[in-house]
Amino acid sequence: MSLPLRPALENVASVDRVLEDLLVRFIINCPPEDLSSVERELFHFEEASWFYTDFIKLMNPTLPSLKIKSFAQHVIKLCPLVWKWDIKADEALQKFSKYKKSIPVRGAAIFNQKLNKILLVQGTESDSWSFPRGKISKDEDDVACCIREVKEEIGFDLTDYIDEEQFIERNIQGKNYKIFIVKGVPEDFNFKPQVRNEIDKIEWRDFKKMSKTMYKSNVKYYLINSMMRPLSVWLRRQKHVKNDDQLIQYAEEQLKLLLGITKEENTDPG
Amino acid sequence: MTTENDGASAMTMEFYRKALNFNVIGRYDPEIKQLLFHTPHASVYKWDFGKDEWTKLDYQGVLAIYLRDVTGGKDLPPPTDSSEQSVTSAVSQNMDIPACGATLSGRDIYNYGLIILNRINPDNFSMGIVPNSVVNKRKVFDARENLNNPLECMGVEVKDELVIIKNLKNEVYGIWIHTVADRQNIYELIKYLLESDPQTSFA
Repeated sequence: MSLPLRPALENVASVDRVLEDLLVRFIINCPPEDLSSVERELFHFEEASWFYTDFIKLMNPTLPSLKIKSFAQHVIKLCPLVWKWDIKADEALQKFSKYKKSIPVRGAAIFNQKLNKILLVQGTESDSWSFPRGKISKDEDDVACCIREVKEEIGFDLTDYIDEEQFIERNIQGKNYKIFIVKGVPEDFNFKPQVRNEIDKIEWRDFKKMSKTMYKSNVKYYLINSMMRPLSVWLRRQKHVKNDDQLIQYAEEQLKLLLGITKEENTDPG
Repeated sequence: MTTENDGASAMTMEFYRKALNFNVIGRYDPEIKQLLFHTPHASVYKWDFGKDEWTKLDYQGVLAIYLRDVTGGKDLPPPTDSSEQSVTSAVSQNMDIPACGATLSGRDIYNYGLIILNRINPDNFSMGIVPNSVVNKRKVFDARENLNNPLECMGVEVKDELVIIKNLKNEVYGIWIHTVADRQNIYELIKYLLESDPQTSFA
């Protein structure tokens, strides 16, 4: 960074301020040909909405979660000029997802309790390492698909761990990937694929080490390499939250000592 | 009728776009005074003197060059503490991604700025631009400041689809620009800014 810039996307209070930034980054400055059809314009909306969830929402937890549909509505309300089509945005988005028409894939980025390791799997037919994941079934929702696929591939039930708000989404060669971020999975669990001949190996990887060697080593990765940034941001955020929790706990203990409350007592009902 | 309307709305859009670009860049660099140039898409490479090759950096997006207000004679703000404030720059250190290089400090004499509003992550690319005459005068008349914070004359050229810029700290960046005609345009503009005396406004 040559000129020191202010961190304008941190501690922002209003969604509109963020959306203005995203409009400038992703939408209104596109080359004209990128805004020449509904589909091409929606790709930019989609990219901007991922940036919102991957970075801005994580940096500013008080901001609302916006899925692509409400995100697009917000943007168009803020700047009606960007939407010059007769078709409504949510209708267009429906067509858009049909236009991509491949089967979406759901999976999980699984972290241990210490948040220093991530669980990766290697398939039988490919030598690259990635998240446990799989294709969505008919009428199945994202979370259910993720839980089912993870159970099939590593034998662990994520039901109590998964948070439907915590995920990273990417489209790679027309296919939509949504990877939920999960923490606190016990390291010593005996992971075993329930389906044979699909998963070859399951291993915990040191996250920091992996991120440092990702582009140098001969180990092949899939998906995770395109998500390292948001994952690192998420991890940092988690550590902050954890430290805050510990501080609160410490303050509570100290305060109790000071006030002479040593035992858990039920108030006398009288 | 329709074409007239289209023309009018295209003009409104253009006006709105410029205003919004100015406002958003102003949140990152409050000294912005006037936008001079804008191109929809650029990506950044840095010359690695050790390996003699270009390294691609994690910056991609809208590029703008703007005039800055340096009449106040203030100092540049210290770079934001990466460990606490900027989540992502800390991440890039952890991840061994080549960083963007030296941060300018000391008295704010940087007449022009170049910024790329990044689509890859929240960190934007920035570069201070100072006319050669100012750098040379500083060496003579402000020797102490120059000793503490040495600046070199910048250079610019176009080669193999890249606009190559040597910055004030002798780092070399290659900027790839999507719109072919703009490669020449940005080159001409930066060359003009470097070779002319500093200006406080452009008509």
